[in-house]
Amino acid sequence: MNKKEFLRQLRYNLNSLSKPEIDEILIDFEEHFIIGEEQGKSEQEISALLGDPRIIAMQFSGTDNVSMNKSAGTKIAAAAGLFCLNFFAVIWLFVGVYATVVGLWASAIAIVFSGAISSLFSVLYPFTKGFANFSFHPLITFLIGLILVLIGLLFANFCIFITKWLVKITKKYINWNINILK
Amino acid sequence: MNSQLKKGALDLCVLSLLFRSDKYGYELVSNISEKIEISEGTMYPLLKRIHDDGYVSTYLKESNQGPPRKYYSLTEDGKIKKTVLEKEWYKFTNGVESIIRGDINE
Repeated sequence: MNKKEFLRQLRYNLNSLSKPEIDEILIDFEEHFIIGEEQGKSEQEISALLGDPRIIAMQFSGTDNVSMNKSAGTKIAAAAGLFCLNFFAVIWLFVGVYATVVGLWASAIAIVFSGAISSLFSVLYPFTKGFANFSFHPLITFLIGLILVLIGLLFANFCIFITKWLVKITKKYINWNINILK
Repeated sequence: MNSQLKKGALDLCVLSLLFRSDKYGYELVSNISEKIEISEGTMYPLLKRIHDDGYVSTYLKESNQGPPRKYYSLTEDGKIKKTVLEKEWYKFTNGVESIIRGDINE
């Protein structure tokens, strides 16, 4: 590859950098070629020693690495896009889902509580019959109460599972946001 | 050779060469490629990176022949970085060597 072709490929692949940066890099390589030729090397030899201009360009842009250097413009565009996405959609979705989970928790607690009260009142039948209204035999009420407590606890278990999962999803989503803004 | 390891080693090579005297790009590249097998072009992204990090500064100096050359010079931060990297390097290579030699308490 001759000097002209090398510099052309280098410039072409540096397009993610700013104009002054690209100009400076090309001047550096031009200098390298000039000094190399003064030392008696041919353009072909020099470019062979330099290596693939596309790979060199990637190293300048940092795209050979995990952490990409984004330009200020890209960052602002990403931030604006994320803001719209979050404000107009995702936040409301999260509000909805979180409210549902709070509702599920409230029902689980209510079921356990009502079951516990029924059982307790049936056990204390002689003392509670004055003010509590028993539709069934106290023993049946006690059993229904017990079953309700068990169902409520199962339900609460399910709520714990859902909550953990939701927290995980939320963390992932926040991390995704942070990664985009980096 | 592991590219991440090589990157760190090349940083240390450049800082060490510049610790002795200011050099222009071609000089640095050929000093290193004499001793280590590299694609010479990858030295320039490295130089830009350590320049952006503030470890080296640059200035233009006229040469006897051709256009002025861009010289690289170590900053105070660069001197500190060189000392730190050098210590890390010796600690690392001493560790590796002692493991290879097998003088390790099992």
